[in-house]
Amino acid sequence: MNYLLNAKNLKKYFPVNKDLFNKASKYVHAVDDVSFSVESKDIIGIVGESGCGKSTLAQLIMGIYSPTSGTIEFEGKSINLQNKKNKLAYKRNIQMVFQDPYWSLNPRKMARDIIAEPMRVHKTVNEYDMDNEIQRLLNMVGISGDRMYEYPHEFSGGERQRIAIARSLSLSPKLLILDEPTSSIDTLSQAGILNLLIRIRDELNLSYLLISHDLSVIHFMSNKIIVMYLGKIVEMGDVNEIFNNMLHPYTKALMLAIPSIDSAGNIKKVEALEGNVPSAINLPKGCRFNARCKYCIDICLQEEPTLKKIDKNHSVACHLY
Amino acid sequence: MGVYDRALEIIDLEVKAKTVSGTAELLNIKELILDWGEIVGIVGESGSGKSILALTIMGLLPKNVFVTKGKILYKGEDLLKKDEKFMREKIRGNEITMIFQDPMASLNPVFTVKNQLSSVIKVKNPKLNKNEIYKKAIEMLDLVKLSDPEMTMNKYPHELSGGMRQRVLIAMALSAQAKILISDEATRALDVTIQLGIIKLIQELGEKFNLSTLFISSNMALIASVCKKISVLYSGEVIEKGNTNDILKEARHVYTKSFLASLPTAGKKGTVLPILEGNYPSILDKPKNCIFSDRCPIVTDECRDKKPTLSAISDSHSVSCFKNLDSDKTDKGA
Repeated sequence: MNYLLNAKNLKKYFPVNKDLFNKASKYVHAVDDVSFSVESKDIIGIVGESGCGKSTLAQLIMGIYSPTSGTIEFEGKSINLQNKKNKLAYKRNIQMVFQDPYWSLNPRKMARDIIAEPMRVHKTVNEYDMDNEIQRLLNMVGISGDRMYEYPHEFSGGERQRIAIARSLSLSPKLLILDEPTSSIDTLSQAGILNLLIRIRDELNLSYLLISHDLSVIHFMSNKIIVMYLGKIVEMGDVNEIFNNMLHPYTKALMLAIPSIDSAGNIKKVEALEGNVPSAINLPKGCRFNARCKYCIDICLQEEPTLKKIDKNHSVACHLY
Repeated sequence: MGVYDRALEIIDLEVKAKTVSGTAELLNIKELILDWGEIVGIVGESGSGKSILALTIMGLLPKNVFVTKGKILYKGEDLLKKDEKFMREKIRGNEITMIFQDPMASLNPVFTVKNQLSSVIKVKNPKLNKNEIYKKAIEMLDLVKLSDPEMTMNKYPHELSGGMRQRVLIAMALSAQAKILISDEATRALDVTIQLGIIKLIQELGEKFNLSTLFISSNMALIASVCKKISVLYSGEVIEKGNTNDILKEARHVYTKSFLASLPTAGKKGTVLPILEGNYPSILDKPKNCIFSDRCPIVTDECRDKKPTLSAISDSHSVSCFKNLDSDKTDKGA
């Protein structure tokens, strides 16, 4: 199988409590042994509470952090981020859209310069063709090309997010990382952004990693889901499979905790998930979820479960299965 | 509760702002009622006037914003006629309290929880001695379900998590014996699982202490699972209100329908979400008469000539539209 991106046993530990000789005695286990792969045109939804490592995972894939161990393969080639030339070429393929377009766009730059900047850094388009290219990108995201001389404050929240998307598309990437792309904009603009993302995925053959805590957005957009807890993948699989037949107690509890309405206007009953996420420094022995789990058995306190394949498109890390 | 059957009654409220480019109409609310122990949801996009409504009730409007008409009745008295001293000493933070999106901004970073909570209790119960105040504070923190209240007491706000800070603020509201809580996007910055804890707490307090809550949010799913009644705010006007089921299942106003239709749900997977054309009206240049007439796909001359009023279509459900008064559930979305 040809994967676009293949992450193998990815780990990222951040040292804390460094001593005199710069040796750390403890580590934050932000991402701990995560493996997954992205195929072309995949939309992979990543869900989890804050502190579960989803943002660190995104940053590892972006090449912002280098992993403590593990490898990332892109289009079959292992990525070496130490080599500057490799790094630039790799970063061109992966771009990110951030949560809050009020913070992610420089208020002192015109839309034109915001979108042009990546192309100037990577020298992909010369200044002569720049205006045409920017018009093309703006039209693609549904903003009229003659608004390119406006500043971010002249655009609405939804339009700003469109500009951020246009900027991320400017280097013709193959994978976009969308970090909560619609959580800070209004419902009606959100619908427009989601439609736009699906449309450009089909037009440009993109793949997405979609980080969100809005399950209806994840269910609507993605074809695969990764559920993370304390740096580990606890459940992973096809979106319909997960929503119809979720197995891990954490996935069940998380789904129950998030309010949503279905198409017929029925409200889902919600139930609180008790307890807090344990510290990622001193990890609990055995299964990481054992303190909050209703179905905890003896083995859960002793041994950490591994991700097992239950079905063709469904894996879960739990001793119950 | 008591002689007053309504906790809060807003009648014919009109709020305007003076700006350099002219007068802006911010709010025009004919009627909004909050009963004792009830949670009423206000849903709307940004710019719909949700926060201005909260600030008007609290008497915290910016200097260039004025109430030009209307009444806000609390226990039979018009809050708009009260002077600043009365509002500060009797109402704000006492009878009516507000929790905001960012709890860090509402707590003083240089004092401990104990210090801040005790001072509220002391003002309310001047006769209590130090020990009794401490006991009462612990009791309050216990009430909002903070685990280990004694340890929390000695912590500074930055040592607490977002959910814990929000709980401390609710504890402060309760120790001031608040009757009305205004929650302005109070759970937006919180994690999903923490968010649920806070809304469950607000629901419980409503039942236990008859605390009435005005729950302001732009998240329809959240509002629907917390509130029994919902008012939909569009550009400063309530365009539809009713019980949660009325709004979710039998929405009549085109705006409410489009709002619901644009929510991504599992059933709509693989389809293009319907989008309402046009932009949100500018507060300086709102459409005449029907506020929605410039975006409405079924607009007629009548809508531009006459202003629709919020008229009842059932006991609980009213809508402000000339059309769409007949039930037509199949026609969801614009």
